Amino acid sequence: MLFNSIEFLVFLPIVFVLYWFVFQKHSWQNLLIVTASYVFYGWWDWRFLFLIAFTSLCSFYSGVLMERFEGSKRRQRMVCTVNIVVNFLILGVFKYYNFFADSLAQLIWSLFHYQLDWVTLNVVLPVGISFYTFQALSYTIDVYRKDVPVTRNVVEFFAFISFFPQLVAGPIERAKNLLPQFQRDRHFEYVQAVDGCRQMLWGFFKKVVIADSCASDLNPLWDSYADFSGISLWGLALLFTFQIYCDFSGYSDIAIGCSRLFGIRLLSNFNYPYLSRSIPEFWRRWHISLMTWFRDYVYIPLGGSRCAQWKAIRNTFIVFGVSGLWHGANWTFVCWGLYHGCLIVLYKLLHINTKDKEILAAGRWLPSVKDTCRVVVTFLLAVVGWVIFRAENIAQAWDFVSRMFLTAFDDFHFRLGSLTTMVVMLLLIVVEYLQRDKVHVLQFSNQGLFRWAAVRWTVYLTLFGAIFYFSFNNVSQEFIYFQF
Amino acid sequence: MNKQERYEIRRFGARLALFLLLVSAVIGFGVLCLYQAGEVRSYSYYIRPLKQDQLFGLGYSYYDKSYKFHMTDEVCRPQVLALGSSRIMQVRRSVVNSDYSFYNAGGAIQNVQELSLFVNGLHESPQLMLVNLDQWWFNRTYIEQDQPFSSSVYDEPKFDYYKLGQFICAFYTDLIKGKVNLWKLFSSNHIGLSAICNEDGFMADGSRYSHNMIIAPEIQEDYNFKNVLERIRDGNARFQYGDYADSTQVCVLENFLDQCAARHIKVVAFLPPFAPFVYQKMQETRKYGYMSRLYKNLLPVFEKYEGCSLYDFTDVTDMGVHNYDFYDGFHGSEIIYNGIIRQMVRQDSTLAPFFVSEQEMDRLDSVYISKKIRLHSL
Repeated sequence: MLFNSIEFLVFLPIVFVLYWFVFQKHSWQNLLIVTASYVFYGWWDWRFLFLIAFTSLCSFYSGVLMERFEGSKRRQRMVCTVNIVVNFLILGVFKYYNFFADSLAQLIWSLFHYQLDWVTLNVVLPVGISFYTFQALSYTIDVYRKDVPVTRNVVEFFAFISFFPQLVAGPIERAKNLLPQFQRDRHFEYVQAVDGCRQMLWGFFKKVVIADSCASDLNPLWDSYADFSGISLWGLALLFTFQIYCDFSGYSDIAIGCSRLFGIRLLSNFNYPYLSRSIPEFWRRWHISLMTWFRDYVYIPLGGSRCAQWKAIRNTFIVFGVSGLWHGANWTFVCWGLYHGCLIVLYKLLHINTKDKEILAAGRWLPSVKDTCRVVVTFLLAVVGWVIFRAENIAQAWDFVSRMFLTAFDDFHFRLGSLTTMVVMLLLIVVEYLQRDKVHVLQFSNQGLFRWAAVRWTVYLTLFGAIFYFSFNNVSQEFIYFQF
Repeated sequence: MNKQERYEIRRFGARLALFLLLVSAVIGFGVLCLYQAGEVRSYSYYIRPLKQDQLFGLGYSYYDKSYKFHMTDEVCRPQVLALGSSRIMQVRRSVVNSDYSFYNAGGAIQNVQELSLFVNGLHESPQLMLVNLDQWWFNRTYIEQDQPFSSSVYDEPKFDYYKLGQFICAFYTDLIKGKVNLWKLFSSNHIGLSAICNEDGFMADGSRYSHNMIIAPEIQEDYNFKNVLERIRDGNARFQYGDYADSTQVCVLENFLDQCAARHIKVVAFLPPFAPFVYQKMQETRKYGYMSRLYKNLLPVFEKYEGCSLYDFTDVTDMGVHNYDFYDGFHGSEIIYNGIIRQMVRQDSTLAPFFVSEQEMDRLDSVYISKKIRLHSL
């Protein structure tokens, strides 16, 4: 079930009413969440439910077994390892088998001119498999590390893995944050619910108005990129830069806002990444839940940065290479990850300041010239990265990027329809900058123009009107991150 | 749930309800206007006789084909039927003898296959069928690019909620642009926004009336044939180039005539006119060979059937018509079609009982001429 569908518009109020008015005890609410989440997920394809149920059961019983083997670290390690292997096997078969089989066959053909007759699998990639697999793995590892207590309530655990707002595209939750929330009574909080609705509204605006408009302009032109001049190619790259941000962060905003309606607080996933002053800062603000996952379960166990410099560089490349691969079974994603890995290593080697903790121009109206330049450079580096991410293959990525820099900067090719897209992109930049110290853009302070309810409501209704209009006038696109 | 929670959830519900109320008011007003305009009525609402001064012209839906079919089959059941594309829509009731019932199903057909489909679906056969055969129906490139055949064109159209959403957006956009007049919308007896706001639509006899084209020709897309000349230059949108008539389409036409003969329908077909200026430009390109040969290709087919005849009005330069009597490059006004009928009746006396006398035709022409309508400055 898509968030931007009529079905969800009916589904959400029904679940909300049942949750607060019928199933008032938290154990019953958990059961409702599991049922609702399985309906939500099964809407795509009911067969996917077996897979998520199996993944959940494996991780649940691995926790139970580890508790039973208390005192035997070796046995606990074995259980943890078996669960990790099983989870990666499922992920590998459904997501990566064909990719690696084809890649190996191509390699052998190019080296020895020998055709390998692989059996490729004709399976559909289950929606959001990477997200819930990583969430299930984090629980097993945390239990093994004794960072979280074992849960013996299977409904609670299933609710944790399958919680419908964040099931298919994150944020990738940690047991430490989400599981305890399913173990205690939830209370309806007016402020949280209202702010959750605002966050959802903004998420829908980003997805339906900006991301889908960018996609409508970009998709017909992408394949014929070779006909365009350098400046037009930058224009195309810019469209995808905004599309992917609004698509993914829009989903996260809807997920987080929706969860707040049920008294559940999810982790933040985006924090104005395009206002970053360096690539390391960009990665502290982009897909935060995934990057902290890799930091805690891959980077730090490998030694992190507190080791020899070559090891720290190796660790960076491993993390970014793997995180690229997480996004999809294509070498372009690996290259995109390694490209960012290279940039981060360069920042480190050149001793460029990457320790910015506060948001850009905190407490001031405008950033300094130096910070502005840093933001622009970081943004342009990210734009180049998104070309690699969007390309069909490495050759296309290389050709596109080369043309961006080497072909003439004349003849800016844009259709008139793109004007609306440019306006909404510009609007996004302005409002995100103005609201950069807030959790989301629609959190208004009680000062200035927005202290008047009429002004705030005008904004809400205008946004709703725009969402309504674009819903029926743009070709609706599936969320990009569903494929991951 | 404790007292505080109950209070908070009620407060939330009230706030949400207020938001939804405002949203519903805006959407609801749009739906009300669309309903009042006749844009979102059930299909059966449209299939009924129109009053004498009433027009049917939907702004946001395209039901022309199925509307014309169901009106012909279920409501009018005419003895004289004008059948074809938009290029026969200007044939009016006034040129047909009042002893015969008449309906103009112009707009129902866009390729030769649809002729058979239409006639095959009729429960009652007309006595006479006046059919225009658009020249491009016999051009393979047009058929492949613009009009692939579908057997469901005359089925009752289905309405869905997605369309309703699109219509609401379009309605408010038109309201903001000033294209929709709310006063007219609630006071007019026409059906459809196009009919209400532009006085453009089908009349009770099925022929088309377009007030805007007559009073403001200079703002039309094809004023002085600008649009059609571009199409000729680019060879697209009906004006695809071609050297020979497609033999498959000729066979399909033969099947249609078989069908009509079996149902005892007299078929009088004609190749409809182009504005003289446009026809001259087409000839200059030397890329429309199929059009020059079309009459010769089709005539033997018609000669096989008794009572069926074919006339060629592709080039009407010799008829003394004016460019300014054409709505656009290939749609003549009613005076052009009166002239065509007059010519046909002169050549085939068996047609005379179906149409008004030549004196009456002259009177109709003089009424038109007295309006001093100039659709182009050429």
